[in-house]
Amino acid sequence: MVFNDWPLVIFSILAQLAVGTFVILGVVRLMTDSERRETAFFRLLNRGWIGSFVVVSIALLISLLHLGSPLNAPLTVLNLGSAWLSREVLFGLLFALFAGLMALFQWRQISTQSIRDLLYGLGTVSGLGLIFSMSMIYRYVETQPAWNTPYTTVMFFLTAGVLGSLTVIVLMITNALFLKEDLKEAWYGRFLQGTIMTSLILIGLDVLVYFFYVLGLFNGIPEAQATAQLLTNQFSILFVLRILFVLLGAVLGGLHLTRLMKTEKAKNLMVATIFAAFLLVLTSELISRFLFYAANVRIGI
Amino acid sequence: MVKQYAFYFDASACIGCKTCQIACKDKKNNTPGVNFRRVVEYGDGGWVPHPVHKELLMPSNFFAYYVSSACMHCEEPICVEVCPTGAMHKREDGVVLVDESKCVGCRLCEQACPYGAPQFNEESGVMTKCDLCIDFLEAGLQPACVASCPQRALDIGELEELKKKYGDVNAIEPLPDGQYTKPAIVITPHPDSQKSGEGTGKILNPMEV
Repeated sequence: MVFNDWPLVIFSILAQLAVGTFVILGVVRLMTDSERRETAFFRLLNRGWIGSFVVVSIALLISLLHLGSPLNAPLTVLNLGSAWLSREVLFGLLFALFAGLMALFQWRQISTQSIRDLLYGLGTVSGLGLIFSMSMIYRYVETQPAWNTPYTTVMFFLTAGVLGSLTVIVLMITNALFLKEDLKEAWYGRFLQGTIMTSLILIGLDVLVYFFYVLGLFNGIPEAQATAQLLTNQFSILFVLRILFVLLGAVLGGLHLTRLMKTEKAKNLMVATIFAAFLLVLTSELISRFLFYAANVRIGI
Repeated sequence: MVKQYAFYFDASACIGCKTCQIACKDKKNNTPGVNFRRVVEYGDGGWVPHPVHKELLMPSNFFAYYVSSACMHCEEPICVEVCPTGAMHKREDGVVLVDESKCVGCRLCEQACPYGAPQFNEESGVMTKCDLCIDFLEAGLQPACVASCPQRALDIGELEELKKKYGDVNAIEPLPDGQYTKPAIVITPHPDSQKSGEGTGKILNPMEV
């Protein structure tokens, strides 16, 4: 079997990571009072906005690789009336625009805080719209039981939340270590703890929802059952790794809540574990998305 | 003016010779792997122990029949609904066409269509599909597949007229249930035909279709 959908796997995961990072960075920003927005740590955190913009831009470029005639790409926004793919492209471009402006304004400290609040709002709406319409492309295809389920939407949003929160955690920890500040004492310690807790809860939901999704396939129509059997037979190794990696990532990420934050000597270990956690979860999500595209049995011939 | 063009297929007459498939390929000059019309062989059956002489096997429930299928020019074409550029469109006479100059080659229609009708042309990078030989129709001729069938198992006409003439079956295994896209097709089932969604058999020539 030839697998043509690698660009879609990479595009969707990167776009969701970018939106998740954008939204969660914004929550941290809104919860930080204006004095602390001037601290060295917060200014370093602003690099995250640039990262979000760069990642979504790369994602959009990669999505072009999926097309047979990329020169016709500008036409893809023409069928907004019925095609979720058109809506996805529109939201994707809007999100990239707002993420780019937000990154520039935060980085160069241009404009007022309230204009940036507005940009954040617009970016969040278009980002969430991007993930929703992305999921609706697949949910709309009622001849594909692996896609035509509300779980598709839930899983796409959870991927964004999980990868976004982990990206912000990585940023916070590496920034703190770079500034040689004590995480436990620093004012942003509670933000770090809160983000880690959030990511752990989201990872728990991610695994739970995936479990119910596969269970739903097993109890579905014959084509859905055939899909589930592909997952547990032909793709069984990837299926197990998908679950294993995300759980391992959660354990490594969770370590930062208790043990690592209290030790000052373990800085290298901290960087290693949080990057390992991030990469494990990212790999797990990539496998999950690969299976979403590769293991499906369509109704019909 | 025709409201909805439709194919008619007589599964009880089809002998699986695939002349329609080749006539179509010839007319459209399609590359290997692209077949707008395909003849699917569907069947079932196995061996069961003889009731008395358990060591002997006897045939049980053997059957096979053919389904010749092209684009169904559906009344609710999912390919048109999902197409982001509007390249895939439905004409007033019901014919579903792809405008190759607008197609972006995202292949979502291919993923969505339960009949495998839109097919990707690797050379041109766009989707291609059965256009009901509209050039022939406009010249007063039949589509290549219909004209070529030695069994007269295929016909073309107005959907409502075909229904009056041949009944309203629009799905037999291995075709999907008609509820998904409302296909503009009228089928005379084979005596062994199984109802869509309730089939026990399988496609016997998966490499060919």
